[in-house]
Amino acid sequence: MSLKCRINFNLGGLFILCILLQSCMNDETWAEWKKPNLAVDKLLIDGGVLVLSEGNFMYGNSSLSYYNSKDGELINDIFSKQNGFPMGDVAQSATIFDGELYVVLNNSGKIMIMNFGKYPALKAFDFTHKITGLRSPRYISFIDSSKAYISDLYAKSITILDPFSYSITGTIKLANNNPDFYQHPTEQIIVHNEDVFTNCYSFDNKVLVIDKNTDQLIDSIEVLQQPNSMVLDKYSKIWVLCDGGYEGSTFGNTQPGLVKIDALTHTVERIFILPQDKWPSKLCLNGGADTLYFLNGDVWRMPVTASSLPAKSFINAASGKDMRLFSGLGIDPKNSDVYVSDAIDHVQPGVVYRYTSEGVGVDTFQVGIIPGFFCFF
Amino acid sequence: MRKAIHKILFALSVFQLIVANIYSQRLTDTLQIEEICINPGRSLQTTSLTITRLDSLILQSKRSNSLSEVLADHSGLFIKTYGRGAMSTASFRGTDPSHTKVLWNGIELNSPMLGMVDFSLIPMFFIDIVELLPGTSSINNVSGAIGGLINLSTSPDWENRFSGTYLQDVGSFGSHDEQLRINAGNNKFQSQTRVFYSHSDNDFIFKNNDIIDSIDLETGRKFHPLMKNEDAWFSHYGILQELHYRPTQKDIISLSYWGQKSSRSIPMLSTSESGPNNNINRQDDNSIRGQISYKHFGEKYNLKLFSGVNYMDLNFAMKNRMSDSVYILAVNSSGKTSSLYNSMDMEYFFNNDLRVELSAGVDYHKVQSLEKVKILGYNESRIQSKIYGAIYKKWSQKWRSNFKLGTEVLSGENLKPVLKAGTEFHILTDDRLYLKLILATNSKYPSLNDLYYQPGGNLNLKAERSLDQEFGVHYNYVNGKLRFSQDFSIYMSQVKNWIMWYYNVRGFSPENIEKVDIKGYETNISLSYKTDKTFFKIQSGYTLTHSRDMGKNLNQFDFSFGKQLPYIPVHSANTMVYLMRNTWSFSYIWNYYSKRNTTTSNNESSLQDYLYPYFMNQAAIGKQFEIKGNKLNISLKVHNLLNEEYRSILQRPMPGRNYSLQLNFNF
Repeated sequence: MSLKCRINFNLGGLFILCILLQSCMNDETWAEWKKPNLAVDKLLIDGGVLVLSEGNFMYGNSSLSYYNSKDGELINDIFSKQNGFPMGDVAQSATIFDGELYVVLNNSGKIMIMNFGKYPALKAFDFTHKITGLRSPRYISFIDSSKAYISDLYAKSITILDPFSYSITGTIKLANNNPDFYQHPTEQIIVHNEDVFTNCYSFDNKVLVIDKNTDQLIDSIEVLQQPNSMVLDKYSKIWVLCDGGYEGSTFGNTQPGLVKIDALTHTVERIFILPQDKWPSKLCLNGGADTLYFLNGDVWRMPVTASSLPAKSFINAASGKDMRLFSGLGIDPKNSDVYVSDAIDHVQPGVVYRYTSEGVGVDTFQVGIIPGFFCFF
Repeated sequence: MRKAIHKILFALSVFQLIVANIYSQRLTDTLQIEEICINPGRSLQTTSLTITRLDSLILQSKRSNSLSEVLADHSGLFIKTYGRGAMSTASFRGTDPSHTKVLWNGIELNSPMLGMVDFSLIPMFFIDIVELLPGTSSINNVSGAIGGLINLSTSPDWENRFSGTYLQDVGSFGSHDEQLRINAGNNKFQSQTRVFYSHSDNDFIFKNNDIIDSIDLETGRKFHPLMKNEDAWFSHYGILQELHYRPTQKDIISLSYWGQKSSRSIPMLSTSESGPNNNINRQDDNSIRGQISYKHFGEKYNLKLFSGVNYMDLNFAMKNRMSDSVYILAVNSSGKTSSLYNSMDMEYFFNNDLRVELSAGVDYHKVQSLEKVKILGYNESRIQSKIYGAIYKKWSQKWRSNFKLGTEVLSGENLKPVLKAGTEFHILTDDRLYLKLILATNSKYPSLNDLYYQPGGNLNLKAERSLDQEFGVHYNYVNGKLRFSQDFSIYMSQVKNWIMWYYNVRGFSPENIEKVDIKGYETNISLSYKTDKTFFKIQSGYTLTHSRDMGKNLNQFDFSFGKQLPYIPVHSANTMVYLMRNTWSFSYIWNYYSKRNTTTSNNESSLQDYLYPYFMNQAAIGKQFEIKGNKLNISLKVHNLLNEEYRSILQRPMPGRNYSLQLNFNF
């Protein structure tokens, strides 16, 4: 065969090969994973914890993990595997209400709702409904059977939801007309009697009080800078953990601390100042609502009746030669087991360490990217 | 013996073409293309150099595109793009986007604030020559380009008296481009004026598999919506004015001014359901670039004096609608950067076998960064001065080598020297077959954002330092109408103090990773056949890249050690086939990217931990007409020929099959 013929033959074959070797991958093939298909009734009997992993901002890779401490069963990315599509971007928090699990997706402007017993014909974590049209939602709290409040980073308001119809019925305006720092953002929500408390975290220093019957802002309590988390103890005291800002912030870099507020009178009773070299976060309570836990480098624990901060930490971040960066904290209300997460470098699956109520390490398991929220059931 | 070598190499090359295509498809375009000159004429200055120069016909056919689209189609670079008109960055040989430097007529286009270049903002219309210098080859022109250098330039045509071009391009999704170029002058003076406008609504329809439209609670069946890609438009317009004066045959004085304004809307992810009135993102990029240079070409020496300026103003805003007519800005960021470049380069020729170079320069950079809602930002500047020397020596007909050494001072701090030693051994004469070996060290300094960004900037960052090794083979064969060439290179780099942003005890901030190891192999092959009326060409490239984190080890559960860096594909390849007969042309392009991990640990425990591989096809057909001595080219292109679903970034849809029609009138 001449050189020219050989070239033509090879090139013709090559051309046909190029046509034939087409993409065999697309979104639907990508989504064909084996479904967990967990039965809800068994899930509720066994109990467990849901670990919410935020994922990376603008990656859309948030995920939900289920862990059962009795037998160590762990299923990661359970929403996507069960439903065949991603949950959304930056999963912030999760709440169980009336047989459904509500997961708030901060950068997708929505709340994804999935079966957690309400629909017997469906499996656990089957998608059922969604709430859309939100700006930057953070937490959802069910005020009663007919109303829920959704906090938001950018809306300058709280959204009112009717959980029966899954529809938005109104908003509570919270703007303070301050042109700087985009106030007030809202975070967690606590209901006490007729009052609803919400902390304003980002570049702010307030806890706002709303009347749940009139849906109106009725009071504002000044705390330390950047109140990032809060809880209500058994004595009707609201505890607010503030990180104080950071070096270089134009809003200020002040002492972090723990602020104790009387929920009835809306007054600050006591402030516990923390050292200014870390950024405390993730304030939690045990099931009896009489012991506080929070992250400040290490895990710290103190009774709500304490008159001073604890002298030493409860669980050290340093473990042998390893240096762990704790990113999330949860306390099992049933037995006060401590779950603390480590996001490693924030671009790979994180890890959860489980400790007994006395701080003895018992288990470690890998979850999604940037695990930060625990939902016990 | 010589014939045997030719036969063996030819057989291996055809085999490699087929093998490369088993792994290869890549998003490219095809039009009438003549030769892409790999390794141009081997002057002494190009000793041990790898330069890929894109043919002028490619540049001509792609004038309505951005540089990112051309590089994605015609080079071995990995282009990470958020979509047409959206941010696009380049990765040379598995490195970070900040490791790729871009020069335009001697002006560095890398932002001193970000360290990288957004290739979607560089119009091909303002470029006459594109040269790619990977890895160690970049050290000939610039330091700090650990991945490689993209050298862009314009050039005057001293034979021109009066000529011009008008281009009109219309395409799918509300896309259109208009370009006008006027050249006037004589053999002493040339003026080139170019203006362009480019717009696209970018509103393609796609099936959104990332959200559910509705669900049948009885059966569990889910319905995904057909959606329009909204809030993804872009508009660019600009002007380039150049003046070239040649008082003698040996002297040239040049002035250039490039002004450009770009606006674009940045869509939310495909998982977003916040609605049309929320999280509306806009970005404006305005830039002014200018340079003045003097070049002297003497018998014994060449001299170049250069001064350039690069001003960039980037504004990003995110707003939400609070009521019917009130929008409030949640984010309002501004980044103004100013860079001034000054340099002197001299080359002295002792004889045909020995030349030396000496260059010196002083650059000034300033950044003013401010986020107006949270009132965060910084104002910083720095001065960078440098001095380099190089020697090129031809020892014999078969052997030549070069050596370059230089150092820099950055804001008063002496930095480690940059060094390159290369050698070539010619097995066959006339540059038909030769081997090359290069050893080099390079340094790249943190960007001003790395050092001063609020919050998180790290003043303690060290410069990144690479140790590079490269071995290459070049072969070319010409037999009458048949031309064949092949290049392959094996390269290794060990990069210390690699800068990576991640969460640590300081919060989210950049840190130096102890080491990243890069190893790879790349090959390009070209075969063409030409007669009086017919021109046929096939071209193929394949790249294998291993770029692995070998230093960061935060704790026992950090599984990133030894893993491929995120978004760097291990395999990428492309093939172009084109045919030109009389006034008709046909082209076909096929390319491929392998799986890309999105995590540092390369795990696959969730659906979002990787992006699946994709193959891409494009085709084009064109016809040339002659009208009263002027030329009119009409071409029709089909992009994504087989309507593939593919992903370049997580949760960003990409368009299906789409079309463009181009009219190009040259007078």
